[in-house]
Amino acid sequence: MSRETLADSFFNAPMNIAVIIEWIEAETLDPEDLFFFLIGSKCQGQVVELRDALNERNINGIGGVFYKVFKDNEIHDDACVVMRLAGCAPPVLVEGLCETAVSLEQLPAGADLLPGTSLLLLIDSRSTESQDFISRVYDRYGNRVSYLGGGAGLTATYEPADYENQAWVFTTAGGAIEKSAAVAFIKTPLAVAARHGWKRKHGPLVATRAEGNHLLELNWRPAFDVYKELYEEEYGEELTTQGIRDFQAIKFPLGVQKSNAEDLVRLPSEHLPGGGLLCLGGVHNNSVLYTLTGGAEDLFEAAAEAGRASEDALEIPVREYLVFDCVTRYLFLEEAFKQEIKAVSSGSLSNSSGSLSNSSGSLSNSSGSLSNSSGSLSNSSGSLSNSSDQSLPPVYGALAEGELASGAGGYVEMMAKTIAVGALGT
Amino acid sequence: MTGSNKQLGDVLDNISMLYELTLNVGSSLDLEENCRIFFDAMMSRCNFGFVALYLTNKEAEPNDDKKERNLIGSGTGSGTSNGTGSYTGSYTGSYTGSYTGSYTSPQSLEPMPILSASHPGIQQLQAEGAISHLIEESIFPELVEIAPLAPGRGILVAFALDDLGILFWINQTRDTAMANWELNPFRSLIRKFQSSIAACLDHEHLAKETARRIKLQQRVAQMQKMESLGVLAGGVAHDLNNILTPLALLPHSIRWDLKLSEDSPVNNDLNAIETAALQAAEMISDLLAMARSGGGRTEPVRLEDTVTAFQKSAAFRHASEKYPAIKTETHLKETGKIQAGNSAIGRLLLNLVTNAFEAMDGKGQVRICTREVTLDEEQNGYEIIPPGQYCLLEVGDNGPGIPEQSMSHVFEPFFSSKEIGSSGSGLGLAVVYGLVKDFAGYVDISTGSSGTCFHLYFPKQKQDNT
Repeated sequence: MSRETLADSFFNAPMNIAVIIEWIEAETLDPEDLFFFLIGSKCQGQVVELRDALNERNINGIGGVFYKVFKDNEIHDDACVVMRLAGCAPPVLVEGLCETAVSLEQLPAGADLLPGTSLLLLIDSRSTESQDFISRVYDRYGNRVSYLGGGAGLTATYEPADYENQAWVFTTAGGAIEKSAAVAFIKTPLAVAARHGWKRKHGPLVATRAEGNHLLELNWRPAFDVYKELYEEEYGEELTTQGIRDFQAIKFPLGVQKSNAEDLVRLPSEHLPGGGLLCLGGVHNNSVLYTLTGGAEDLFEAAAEAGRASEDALEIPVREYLVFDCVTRYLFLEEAFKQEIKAVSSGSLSNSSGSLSNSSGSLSNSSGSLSNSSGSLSNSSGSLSNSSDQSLPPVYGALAEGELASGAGGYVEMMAKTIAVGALGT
Repeated sequence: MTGSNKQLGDVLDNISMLYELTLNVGSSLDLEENCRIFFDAMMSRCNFGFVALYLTNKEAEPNDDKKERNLIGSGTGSGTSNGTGSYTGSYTGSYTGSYTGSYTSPQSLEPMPILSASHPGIQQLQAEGAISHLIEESIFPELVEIAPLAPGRGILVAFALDDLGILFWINQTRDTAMANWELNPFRSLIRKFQSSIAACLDHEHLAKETARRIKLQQRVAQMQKMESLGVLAGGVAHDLNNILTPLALLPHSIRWDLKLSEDSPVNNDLNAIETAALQAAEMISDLLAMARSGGGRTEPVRLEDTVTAFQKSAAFRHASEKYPAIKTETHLKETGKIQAGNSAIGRLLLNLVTNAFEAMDGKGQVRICTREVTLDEEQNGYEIIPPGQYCLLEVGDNGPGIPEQSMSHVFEPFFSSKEIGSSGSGLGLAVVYGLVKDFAGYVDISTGSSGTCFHLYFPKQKQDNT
């Protein structure tokens, strides 16, 4: 294991707390230093130990546990990304995100934040009221700050019994508590962008009955029936209720119409009794929806666009990228997922190493089962040696369950099946 | 996609987006809830960065005059129809007051600026119905300044809601102002929103009016209770007065008949009887005053003269000496005459001032003011005060205020456990109320964390008007 001396971020695989602390302490700590952790799911058990180690040394930090974390083409479930950022207010853990109107009193007032402040938000994906929380944070700060973050946890990838009572987000001061959000305030230059690349296929469809995550009716008919008909027409294969749960539908999401922007993607993830669909991220009553389809190239192009847009918005050289990429894109792309990450930093498909042809047409059989996609990559040491192109800024990130990115004046909402890119400046 | 297909797609997008937004209008009769749902939908679907509803001040501070409201479709527009039932153009007889920020999304970080009807932007808006321009060239810079926006580009759009108010939004995802043909599709949506706002305000007015009436009914019931208490207290006081007369007079006769020396034990007992009888007499006097059956002589009185005399009285000096760290200020404006008793007003003042002294924690300020006031319409405060000319006596303090739950009991006899009133009988404020009623006056109270003020309204004598 070696330390990257040229960057302010560190990819540690497999995660080793002693090595992480050594890396942090190798440089004199500044009171403003804030350490941002993305932790692979297999290391969830180390969260408490990591937090204790940081607290013992008065090191400020926030972090979250994700299905897998990555740096460029290294994608691991037992690794840890550590980023040294400049904080401008103490990080905050907001608890109780299964209730509406959660108190935000601990957060600094909007007027107290310096211009150019960005918020990093890690939200436990089991939180049923995460959108209410996001709206309230937005109410507090509006578009005077940029937002980047994602849903931490393993809701979409593991059975509930696997993660019961486990905390997926933490702050050093606030602790590690389930169904919470960790919020960091940073002054490190950050520009964000998000794209998904899915294209409209059928629609418009009206969500004539929807409650939170439950899409009950489409065009006054049971939502599952309508969705199943369109799916079977598109793919010529039967869609079963079990199939939805097994990610059969990850290639056929729904898009909520937005003007001047890509549709907001929602993924049917479960059949509900009575004929409804569980849609992660939620669908508002009366929303106008479309079914979406896309190939690997569409997704890569979206990743490249997001990278370019964030780089353009930053207006200074990019030091590194911080990416929250939807776990379902990973399950959809499988091995080709590395191309998506590559596209972020290269900014174009032409610079990605040319293996698209192998991946673009072979995704329809993607079952999403974890056994086929779990980290079979070599044990990386955390050095740059595995990066394919050292002239490009490194891309660090996590496979998230819901993505957040807003920096250009639009509304902030939890997205799905989307790649959210943050370009960090020097 | 060909050009015509893209155009067709854009049209379909616009129609379906407006359809969705329209369905999000009027989801609630609560103004805030109605705005929140609609604004959230607009911000999410249209990527707006800021939406604000401004209401004309007559709507922001509702009154009963609903006839003035220019509801949907009743505008006297002089512009042109756009074929959708709405119109662009000027509204004659437009509202000329000011506009107050009523609801914003996201919530503004700073108080919303008040916009005057003479504001050039409002003038333009009243003339055109809807306007759009770049935020850096905005004719509403005060609004752009307080909106929590990302730095850089964007456009501001404003729609007049007839004489209800104005709807603003800021879209930072585009950098060209919206042309009329782009604004037109929104007009029917905004009309529907305007209609929903009118319904919310009507509902709010109705709810407030109902609450006001319930409160007044409670006050009237309270006043009736005070009347009953007064009758009861008056009857008891008269009888007690007769019973007490021998107790007050006989000790003196006994001393004289028995030729008792001052240090005689019997004399001490007689002194105790005499003191108790005098205290009882004072309490009876309070009860009679509270019962509005004092029957004292009345004469034309100027309040400011009575206050000046009160300040020189031994009773006031004695009360003030007990609270040396409390300052008493007077602001006496010349008033007309009222029909009252000088001594009764003095007693009333003493009770109020003593009550104020005791309300504060040993230090603070008491203000006594007199002035004239003309009420053009009925005033609904602690009591319903009819229109007319009044001489006003105000006694205020900067104590902690009266708790809401105590407000309906403050004039009840023995309500406070503190030693209040001139006699310490627990009847101080009850006596005040009784005396005010004796002189056909009215009481109002303003109270809060910064103090309490009793406002006593006495009808100004008619002959003084001439």
